[in-house]
Amino acid sequence: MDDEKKFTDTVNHALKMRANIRHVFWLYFVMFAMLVGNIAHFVLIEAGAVVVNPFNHRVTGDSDALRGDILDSGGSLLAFTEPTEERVYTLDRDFVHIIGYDGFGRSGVESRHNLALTTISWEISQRANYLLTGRPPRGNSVVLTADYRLQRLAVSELNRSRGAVVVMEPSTGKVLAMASYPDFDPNTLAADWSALIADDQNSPLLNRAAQGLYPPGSVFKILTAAAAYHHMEGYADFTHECTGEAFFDGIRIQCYNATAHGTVDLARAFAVSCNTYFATVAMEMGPESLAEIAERTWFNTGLDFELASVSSSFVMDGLAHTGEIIQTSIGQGRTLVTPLHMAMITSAVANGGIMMQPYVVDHALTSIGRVTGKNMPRALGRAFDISEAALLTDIMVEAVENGSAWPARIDGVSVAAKTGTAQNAAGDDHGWFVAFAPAENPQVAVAIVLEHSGGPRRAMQMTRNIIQHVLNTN
Amino acid sequence: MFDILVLISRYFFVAYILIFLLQGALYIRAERSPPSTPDESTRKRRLTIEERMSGAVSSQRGLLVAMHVHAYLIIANIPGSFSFDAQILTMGATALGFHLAAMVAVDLVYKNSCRLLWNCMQFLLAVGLIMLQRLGTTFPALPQLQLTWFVAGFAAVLVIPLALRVIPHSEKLELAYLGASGVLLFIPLVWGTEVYGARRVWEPVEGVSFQPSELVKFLFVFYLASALRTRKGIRGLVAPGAAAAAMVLLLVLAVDLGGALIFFMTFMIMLYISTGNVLLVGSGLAAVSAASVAAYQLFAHLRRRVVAWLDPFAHIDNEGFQIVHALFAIGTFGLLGSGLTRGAPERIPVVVSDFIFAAIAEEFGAIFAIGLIGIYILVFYRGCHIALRCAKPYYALLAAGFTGLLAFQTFMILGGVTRLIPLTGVTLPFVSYGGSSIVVSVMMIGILQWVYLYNRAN
Repeated sequence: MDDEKKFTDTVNHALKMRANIRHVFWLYFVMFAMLVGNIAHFVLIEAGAVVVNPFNHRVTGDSDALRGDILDSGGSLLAFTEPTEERVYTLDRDFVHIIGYDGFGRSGVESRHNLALTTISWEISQRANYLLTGRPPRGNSVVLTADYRLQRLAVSELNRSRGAVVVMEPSTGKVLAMASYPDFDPNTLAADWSALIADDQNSPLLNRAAQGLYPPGSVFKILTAAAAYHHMEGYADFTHECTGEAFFDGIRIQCYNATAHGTVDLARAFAVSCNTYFATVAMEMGPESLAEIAERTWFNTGLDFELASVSSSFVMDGLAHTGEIIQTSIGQGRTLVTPLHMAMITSAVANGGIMMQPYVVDHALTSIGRVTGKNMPRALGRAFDISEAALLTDIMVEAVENGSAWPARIDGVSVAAKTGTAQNAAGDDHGWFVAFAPAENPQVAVAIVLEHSGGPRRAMQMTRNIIQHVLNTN
Repeated sequence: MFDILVLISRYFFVAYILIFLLQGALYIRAERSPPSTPDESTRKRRLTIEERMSGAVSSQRGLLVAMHVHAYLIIANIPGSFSFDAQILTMGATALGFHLAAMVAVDLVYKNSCRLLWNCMQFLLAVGLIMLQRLGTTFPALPQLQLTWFVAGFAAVLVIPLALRVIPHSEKLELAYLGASGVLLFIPLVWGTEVYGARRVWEPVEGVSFQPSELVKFLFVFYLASALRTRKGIRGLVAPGAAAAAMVLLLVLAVDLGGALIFFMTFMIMLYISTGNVLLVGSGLAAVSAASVAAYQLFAHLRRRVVAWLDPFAHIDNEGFQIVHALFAIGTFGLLGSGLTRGAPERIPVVVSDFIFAAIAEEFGAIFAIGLIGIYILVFYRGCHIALRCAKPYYALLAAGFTGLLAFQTFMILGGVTRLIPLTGVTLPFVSYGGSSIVVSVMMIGILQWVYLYNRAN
């Protein structure tokens, strides 16, 4: 009897356990389904961004396969590899700071998009074709966002003066042209290499557009104006009596050439680039206001740009003393920006306040011409409110119509712009100019810096020609 | 020319594994279908269940042999020619002999056992050996050693039925299991040497390393199955609970945290199956979560692992190095992989043991890698299926316990190398290189089969 009870107990226990075992199996199933989902998600979605990491040394190209071509946005050939495996850059140095070089390590697009350039699409058919026709397999082609005519214009406008030009499409962040001088010829790299890396004076390998840090000078007043809109109550009614100079806690600040601008409001002060007005406003708002706008506009933040780049730096904090506040408000002080970043800020104003991620490669093409790896425009975030961007646009248009930026005027097109003259320890002032056009439907934004040019005059002429070229070809 | 063949072969390997899985599904479907009654009205004779299952088993074995031969031909090819390395071909032929002999041996010794389970295990072993042979240019000694371990594992498996017949009432040996595991777990604490931060290896003879925790796995499951075989109140669970906790603690002291976690999860699974008490298991999991937080504070190498998991790319040249290189391997060549011998798996750290899955994903592609996970799911499905068919709780718990050990170990290492969870350094059962890992995992399948046969006989 006892044995029988024990037996039925055991059987009951075993029956109860069956349901539990089923639950456990489903637990395993869910665990491993998560694994599968994770792998699929990684390989299909995330991997593309992960594997381009320079630490990934896979796909260095087969010995008998050729590196892919690099084309401009219109499909013109910019770089290709000869069957002898020699890399040829068709426009010599014109694209060098975008495309970079291959050989002696890699830089630029050649480095960042190495994986695409060495990925042999339809490899089986390409290799079969190789056997039959002797045409070696080729990596995918990479198509830039830049157009070669505009790029050559930018390079010739720069005309071998030290500095940089960035031309951007405000609504997408596409880099339409990017020039930097000094430069070098990627076709003769082998012969020039030791001289290039030894040239500390000119540093020709440096892409000044993305890696050059310059004091912004008056182009920073765009941000001081935005801060005033945001942080100063009654800025619209605020006026200032400019006598050409002003004193704050005994520290003197002067307008350019000590010009007295008389009674100015924000728009007028911006148009004539009145230093004393912006210093007064900055003292009124306090340094945190400027720090806040710097944070919003992507200062001190690394940029995942396809080319080597540095982030602009803004170091003033709430403890800054008077001298630093007034200097910073007019773009002197310790603030440093790259031309690329100024182009991004200008584009953000043009784009209703949304700052876009800049990019230089639009897509890759497989051997049969199918588009792969399409880069889509991506917003980094909101730099300005819509009404703030509208105000900045208005005062930038005013600067062209009735202010210091008048040489950038184009008949029938409303251009929005700001001039800058940046004092620096190294010599004559740097000339800055940022602009976008048409103001009501922006197609193009430009940022130019010319080292030690004394002022923005030439940069304005260049901008005018570049904008006209873009608007005429669009 | 040969590289075209390697590229085309990628599709073949995907086909091998997918058809293998499909045949597994057909096997299960046949097994579950009601016995067919002879139907005179249809002229076509319908296959019996047994015939359908045998058909699936045979085609799986054919696929395994095809994959093995195909892969060895690719590996043995001398680049740029159509000639082959004789040494690798000999190795391939020997391994093929092993696979065929193993198929015959299990059919003879384990008559009427679950052939689907054997096949799945052998497929995993075959894939592991192929990958080790592929890495033979960097690790020349390993393929041969691995094959030796296969033989040792199968030899042990063939002895299991005999051994368990000699010990007729294995369910009553609770204390013996407990004592033996205590001794084994102390060994690495006293004589252990450190490997990747864990004092888990003991070298009784120079060059022959041995992980006592691998052997303790058996004792642990046997102990818990016998202790939990009868229904107990909370009070009755104190002793097994304390014993299991002590074992886990000893592993923690040996800094074998991965092993400790696997043991603990297996304990939770067996506890749940035996008692069905969600509250108990829930509080156990809560306790281990608290313990993990404490361990995180205590062990620097654990903190490094978590850092590497959260943002491997920010620590690419130290903490994140391993996982980043695994992700490069998995991600670079996409769904079909680079083709066998065309990738760069030797760049992956610890590639022959912990990270072998990344190497497989790199050269065979993500589809094949996912297929491999499918085979693991089949293995655990069969494990649970065997546990379900047991009339006696002791045997059900044994089967479920070993299945649990394998499942959690597999999940932890696969989750680790794919960055689903923080990495814990354990081997991938059946695939990674490793003496004790291979022998022990193969023996676990042997025990599962023995339980299966025992229940068919009774």
